[in-house]
Amino acid sequence: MSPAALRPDHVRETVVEILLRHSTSGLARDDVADECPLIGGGFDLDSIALLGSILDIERDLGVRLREEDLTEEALGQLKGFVDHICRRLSAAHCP
Amino acid sequence: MRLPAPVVRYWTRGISPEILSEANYPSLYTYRFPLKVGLRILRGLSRTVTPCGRVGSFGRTALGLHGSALKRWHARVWWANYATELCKSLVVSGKRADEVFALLRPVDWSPLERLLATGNGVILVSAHIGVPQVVSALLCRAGRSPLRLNRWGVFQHPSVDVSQRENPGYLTQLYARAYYHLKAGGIVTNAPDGPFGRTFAEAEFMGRPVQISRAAVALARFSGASTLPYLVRWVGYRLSVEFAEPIGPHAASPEEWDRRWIQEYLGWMEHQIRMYPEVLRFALAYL
Repeated sequence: MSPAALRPDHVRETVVEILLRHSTSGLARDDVADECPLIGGGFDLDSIALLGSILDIERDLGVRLREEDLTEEALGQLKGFVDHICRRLSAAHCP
Repeated sequence: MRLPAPVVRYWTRGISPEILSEANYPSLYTYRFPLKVGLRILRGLSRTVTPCGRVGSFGRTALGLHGSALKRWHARVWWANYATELCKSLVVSGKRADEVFALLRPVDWSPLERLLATGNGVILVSAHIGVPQVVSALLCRAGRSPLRLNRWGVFQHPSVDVSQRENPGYLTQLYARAYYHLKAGGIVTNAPDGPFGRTFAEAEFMGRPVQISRAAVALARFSGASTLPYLVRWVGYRLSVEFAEPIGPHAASPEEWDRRWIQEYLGWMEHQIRMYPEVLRFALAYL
């Protein structure tokens, strides 16, 4: 994976695109904010959409998430979720 | 043991026909007795019940029962409902779980062990019939706590923060975690029957159209884990843990995969309900 792909802004952009693709909340791209929750508002993903999003994120970003990554805190806001993925990517590529 | 006639009338005519109501007085009353005594008190009461309400209607229309056959069938349903509630409260409270375990026939775990030996996790599905809490309790005792896809706090996998269970996103988050739990070879339990969640599939059950949540079938498809239906059912005064044939994974398109999974799952549940009156409980809400 290229260094550019590891940049937080690239990760955020990819994650937002995937979440919007799976979301049925009608959230517009311009309205996406760091504080947007993934579930229970904001993207308002249900369990199937969340599962699909996670699998797409793993595939597109080449990151492996773990069960303990999916706490309510990690899924509470977009920024926290993206930060979480960035940390996993850094750990994987710069051990 | 004789109970005051007004009490019996109240339980057996006023409340019991609506078996799904929260009114659970018969099992609350028998809670004070040793379990084996409580079960016999309930058996005596069950014989005095007149089939009516939704249960009676289901017996007549869906199963074609009438007269004494309907009365015998209804008595078994009535007894098992409160016997199950009684056992559930004893197991869940944890204080008298051993009394329930003493009723268990020896359990053959080999169907579960065979699937786990492949390295993949297993989704144990029970439906809201029988006494499924017993299996979760047994797995916990054996150090194999399952990740339970429900809001109950008991018998939950220790990695799950059950203090968050009232939060709106709790179940959604649990499903995502379940995927990784299965990938790591863990056990997930679920009761996918009933119109819960936000995304449903249409299916047929007991000759009627019903809705079933797509979340469980999607979890099975995404994870590639086998689904193992199981039932904890009454055999006289004993409890028997029985596993069915595993469902999937199927090599098919997602739509076909989902259709087959739902068909096999509902087919298994329908078979149990037709075979054993004692398992008709919550599933009645489906009908």
